[in-house]
Amino acid sequence: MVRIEWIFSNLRFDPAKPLLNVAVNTMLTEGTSILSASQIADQIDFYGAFLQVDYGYDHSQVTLYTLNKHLSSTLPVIKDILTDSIFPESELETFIRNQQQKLQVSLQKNDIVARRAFNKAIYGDTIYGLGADFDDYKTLFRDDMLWHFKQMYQPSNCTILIAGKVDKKALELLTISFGSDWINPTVEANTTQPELKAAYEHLYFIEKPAALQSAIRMGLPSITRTHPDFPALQVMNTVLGGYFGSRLMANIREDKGYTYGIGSGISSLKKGGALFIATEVGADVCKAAITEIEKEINLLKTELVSEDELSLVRNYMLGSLLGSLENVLSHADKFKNIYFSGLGYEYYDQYTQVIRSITAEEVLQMANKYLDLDKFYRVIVGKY
Amino acid sequence: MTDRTTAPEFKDIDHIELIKPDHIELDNGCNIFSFNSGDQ
Amino acid sequence: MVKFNRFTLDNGLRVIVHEDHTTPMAVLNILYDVGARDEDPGQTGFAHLFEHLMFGGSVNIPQYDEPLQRVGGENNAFTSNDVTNYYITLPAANIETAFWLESDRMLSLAFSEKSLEVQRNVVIEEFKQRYLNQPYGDVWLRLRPLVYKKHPYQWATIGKEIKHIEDARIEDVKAFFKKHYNPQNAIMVVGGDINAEQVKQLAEKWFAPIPAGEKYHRSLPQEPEQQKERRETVTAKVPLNDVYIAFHMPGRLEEGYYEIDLVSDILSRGNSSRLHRTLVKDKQLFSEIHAYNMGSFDRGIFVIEGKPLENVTIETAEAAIWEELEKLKQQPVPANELTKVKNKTESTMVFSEMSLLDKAMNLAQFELLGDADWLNKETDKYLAITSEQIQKQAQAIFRKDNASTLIYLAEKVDLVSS
Repeated sequence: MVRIEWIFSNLRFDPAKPLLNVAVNTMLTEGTSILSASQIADQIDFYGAFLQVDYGYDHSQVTLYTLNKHLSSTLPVIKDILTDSIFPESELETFIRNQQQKLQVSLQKNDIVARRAFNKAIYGDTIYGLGADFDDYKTLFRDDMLWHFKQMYQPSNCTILIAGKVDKKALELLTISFGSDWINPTVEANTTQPELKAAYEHLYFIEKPAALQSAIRMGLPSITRTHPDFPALQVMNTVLGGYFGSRLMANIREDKGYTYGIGSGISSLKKGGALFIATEVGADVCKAAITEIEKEINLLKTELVSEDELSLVRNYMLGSLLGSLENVLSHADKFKNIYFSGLGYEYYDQYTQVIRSITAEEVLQMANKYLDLDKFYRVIVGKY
Repeated sequence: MTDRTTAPEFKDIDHIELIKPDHIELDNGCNIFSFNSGDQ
Repeated sequence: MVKFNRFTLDNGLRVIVHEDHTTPMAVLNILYDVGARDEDPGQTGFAHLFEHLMFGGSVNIPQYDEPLQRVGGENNAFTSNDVTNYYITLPAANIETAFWLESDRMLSLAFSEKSLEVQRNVVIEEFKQRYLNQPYGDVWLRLRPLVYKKHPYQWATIGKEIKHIEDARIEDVKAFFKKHYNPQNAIMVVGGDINAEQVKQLAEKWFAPIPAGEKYHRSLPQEPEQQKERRETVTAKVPLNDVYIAFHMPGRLEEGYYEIDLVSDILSRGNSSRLHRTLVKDKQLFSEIHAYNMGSFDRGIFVIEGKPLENVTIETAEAAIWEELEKLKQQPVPANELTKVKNKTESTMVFSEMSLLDKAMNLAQFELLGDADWLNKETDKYLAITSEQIQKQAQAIFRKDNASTLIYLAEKVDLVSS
């Protein structure tokens, strides 16, 4: 069994045509000049393989899971998709209609609405801040998609990861299929992105009068994996809301029973990062929950973490890193984290080193440096 | 009788080894990284 | 092929050991033979609430999570209508901590009032978050009682209503523990970078002293054969109409289960599946449509769920689904298509063997069903199915008088986009 990923950097975001990156990626399985959408599906499914397209903030990718014995039947389909997708007009219509229907459902989920509003506030009018709207679909045209496809899905903008039983034959098939006859167009892919610009307004309350629960998302722009503070910040984040025993879980779920779950996280993207806290709480305790969240943040900034708690978090984080290396596929995932941040394996050495040696003072410093409540963006969807 | 109130001895995690990929760069600029699990 | 050893302690605890030295981790999985189907109709949601209470401290260990996190471990659990399953993953060198924690809570819980109070609230918030505050979130609260009139599958694991959770008392918690949480009603699987001898010693040390308890003998009301078509229509604050059609189907060990499981693949797995191709792409009647079975131990449910496009009437949508079902009843599945779903099943089995936790959970579940080794025979069972057998099962299942249809009609509300 092998998993092969073809990963491409997204093209520069055009606010006038915001959906090109996502639409082109999602529709890669919808037809080439030789294969119709149903022929692509037939060929992949018949060999028991799985073909997935995934759009991300920085990269879009195509993933194939296949048994080695079927590689020679499944690889040509991927080759065809990546070199000759035609985005048939009729498929595009179906795509737009179905996406708009799904959007209607998403917009009734408070957590999704909160995430969209938060990203928009933190990242502004960029590829990270985009939350597709009904009207955005009117800007999708086949010609633009074809052009976008040709620019983006070219070999010099592609990184291939293959993991699993990678024998000589598998590698040979792969290099032959995606080697010399896969040619770059004359224009290089423009994968630069505009600078992020966070909004002036910091508070967003989207009222849903019938809500039983309110979704809360709060946080602020932050550093990325390339910053030397990142591992230490991750330790601080784990203490705050990064695991089941975290401060936020212990207080807001396990002590108060306000929520089924609460957590904090750091997203590290190419152009910038964000630190955020997200939860859904009983509508009647929304104010109280926010007060408790702020209390926990202030506590982290004013009082040293006990050695007992810190050593627990250390061990938890190391165990969780070890546990995330379940098989060779997860080793490939770890590589992606560093490779696409422009870092080497010394990142993980440094990361484990920081986890082992970080002091309570340093955690406190991280909290003071990166958890400025005055700079927090707050989104509440539901009742307040 | 087994003492159930005290946690058993445990070991710190001292070594985490990551598998590094083999790398090929094709003439067209495409980079291939491979992670081989052997015959699993 | 998943290799394992097994033994049974004197108190009845069944133990399975699966060595996998490709990972530095270990997993300890305990399956308790109790699910929402074992609940009192007046006290539903209890098995799941109880699962939460299992983390509220045990007789000798006040805090469950903390000592586990301290040794680099993680844990979680789930409750289904059939079983309750708990698992720990941790660095294999620290496996004894998992034995210590799990054996103490099998011995006895702390039964803390505070923990009960908090977890009641947490579960009520879970009820709201997953079942009430989501469009279509209440589907299982509606569909189960439509399909089941006698069998306790008529309620969802979260329970029939929030009140049942609010009413839970500490005496109920103690009684439930005594009845279901003992060695005789559990199966433990230990897997990963461990060896069978070590597991045997640790099991003897930590689990053998636990009293056997009483064996729970399940005797549930069986669901009578459905006699005529059932239907419910709800107008709700949902953005789109939604059609659910549910059919009674064979239980996990009954004849016909594998055939119907393959039918769900034929209808709905991947973009080449029949419902997607015909109803989403060719006829353009639905924006999405799925078919699946719940894998229930007793007679289960096969569900088809689809959201028709806005210009499509419910009648047209339903008729189109039935047309596909009629095809399955009237024509044998072509050889190519059958090979396709079998190939997919085969490769899925290969993929799932890459996950230690999946292997452990599957071994436990098959042991409960009868024999852990059935995990290794699973693929062959699918490969042996013929088109004729599928057709026969389709004819048996896809009848109007075996169908329960639930329709959501979208109440028109102003859509706030943001």
